[in-house]
Amino acid sequence: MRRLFLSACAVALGLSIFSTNSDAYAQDPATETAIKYRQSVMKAVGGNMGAMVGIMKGAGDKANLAAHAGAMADLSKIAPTLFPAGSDFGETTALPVIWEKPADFSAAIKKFQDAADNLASVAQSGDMAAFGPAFKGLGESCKNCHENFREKKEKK
Amino acid sequence: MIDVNKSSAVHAAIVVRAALFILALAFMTFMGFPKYVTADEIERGRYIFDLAGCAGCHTDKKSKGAFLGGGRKFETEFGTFYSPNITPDPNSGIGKWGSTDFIRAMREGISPDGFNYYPSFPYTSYNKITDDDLKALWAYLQSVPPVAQINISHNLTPPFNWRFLISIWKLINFNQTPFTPEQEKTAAWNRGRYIIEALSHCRECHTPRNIIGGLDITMDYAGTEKNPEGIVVPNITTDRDTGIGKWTKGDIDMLLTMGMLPNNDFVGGVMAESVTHSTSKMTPDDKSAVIEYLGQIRPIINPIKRKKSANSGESWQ
Ligand code: HEC
Ligand code: HEC
Ligand code: HEC
Repeated sequence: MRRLFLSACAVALGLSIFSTNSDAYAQDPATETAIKYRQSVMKAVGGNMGAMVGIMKGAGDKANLAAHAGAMADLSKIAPTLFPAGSDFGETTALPVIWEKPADFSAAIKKFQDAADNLASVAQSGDMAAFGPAFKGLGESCKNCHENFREKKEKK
Repeated sequence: MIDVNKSSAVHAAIVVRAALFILALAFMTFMGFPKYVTADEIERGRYIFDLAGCAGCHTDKKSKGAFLGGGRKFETEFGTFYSPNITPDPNSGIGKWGSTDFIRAMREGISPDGFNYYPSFPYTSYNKITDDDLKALWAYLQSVPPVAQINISHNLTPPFNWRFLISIWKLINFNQTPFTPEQEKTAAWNRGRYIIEALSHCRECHTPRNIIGGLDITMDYAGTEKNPEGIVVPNITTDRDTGIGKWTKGDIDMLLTMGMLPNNDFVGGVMAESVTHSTSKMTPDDKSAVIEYLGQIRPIINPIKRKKSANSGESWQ
């Protein structure tokens, strides 16, 4: 009873001193950290994507497309480290098939990296006519992975 | 020197041919359209097929199954459904079907043997497809390569495994009124509505269902936190706070074309499939028709959230 009361106080105060041994935390903290890291990188990926849409619609300076496309190429290299085994369990929309079909998942990452590299080199060259199709190709790679490996399901 | 006889003979031949041609045309019109199908008809059918998203459900992509060979699994609260083979293979597919069998399946949800289909086959939307489009779709389906792949039986929990109950279900939930354009609306609005309701069957996912799986039209397009497959489906009515009423036309265009959301995320799972198979293949005119209709859907307040598990926190450990 006392322990429960203390835990409740700790939770209420936002303390994490019991986080490793209290029953209130079913989630393995390492897993939660991995998920949070993945989602943060994905948000950065999305941020650069949105920034490029903004520039294409006339905001900012077209010269900066190269910076965003370059960041995207860099972030795509990080992608393989975002999915450690076991990180399908928790507050995530990543589907277990990521770990069940590793070859298919690697192919989706490869598609993303190729499309991001292509966009980065097109942006470097300044060839605006080629930018649109290359951007579409990158979007296609995002949708491809989300289609097969991500779903917003009800949490049990 | 001109050979008068020869030249008039040529003329006569032309006149006879022209007359025959006109006769033939008149005959064909009188008899109804020719039985053979043209490449154009098949091409038109392919477009209907794309917008209707048949490929996604009837191909077992996860196991790299053959195109339209069936076997895709749907795990629902009623049990597990498997889509059938719809290639023209005579034994395992629908190669023995005639066009009337096909039209009955799509319009009434009834098989050639007379049994009722489960509404996991969205004939509840497809029954609004026009005759012409159904004919073209049938022409296309007959042109795809046959695949020999035996169907897998559904594995449903009683009482859902009793097919005869579907007839009762249909009485309650199956609205068979054909698609009728509304005269006072624009052609684009009507076209958009036809695509959304009949072909691309957006309602089948975006309208919540009652406990026996019928669409709850009072909540049309207002989404659900848990569809029969446990998927969270957003509200796409024009409500500004809980729907997509704040989206611009450009936002919707990005979604239909690429699957990108205004918050820079990309849709996943079944919606991404809809984008891949259906919305990304729409012609520019059809896309703007869809955008026009979506922009006029009645707003319904229905906040959709992904239910979070009790222990999740937003902060770092
Ligand atoms: C949401 C998934 C889904 C979509 C989309 C879908 N189907 Fe089906 N279809 C099914 C399922 C599941 C069945 C089996 C129903 C049953 O057994 O009662 C089925 C059955 C059929 C049958 C009956 C086959 C037989 O052997 O009796 C035909 C024909 C058919 N679908 C054609 C189509 C066509 C054409 C389209 C596109 C216009 C389409 N389907 C789109 C899921 C789907
Ligand atoms: C097979 C089920 C299914 C069908 C069919 C479907 N949707 Fe969706 N839709 C979803 C799901 C699930 C999501 C959420 C996807 C995600 O965010 O990953 C979604 C998301 C959306 C969104 C984004 C809404 C938001 O607030 O994020 C829009 C807009 C949308 N769909 C419109 C449509 C239209 C228009 C059609 C018909 C052309 C359609 N959908 C057909 C299931 C479906
Ligand atoms: C190799 C697979 C893969 C690729 C490629 C991919 N994503 Fe993702 N993305 C995911 C997965 C899986 C999630 C769900 C993460 C989670 O919930 O743990 C996700 C989540 C996201 C999120 C939501 C993050 C959050 O939780 O707030 C955004 C935004 C996003 N992705 C954008 C993109 C964009 C933009 C691209 C393309 C430039 C892209 N993704 C490419 C797999 C991928």
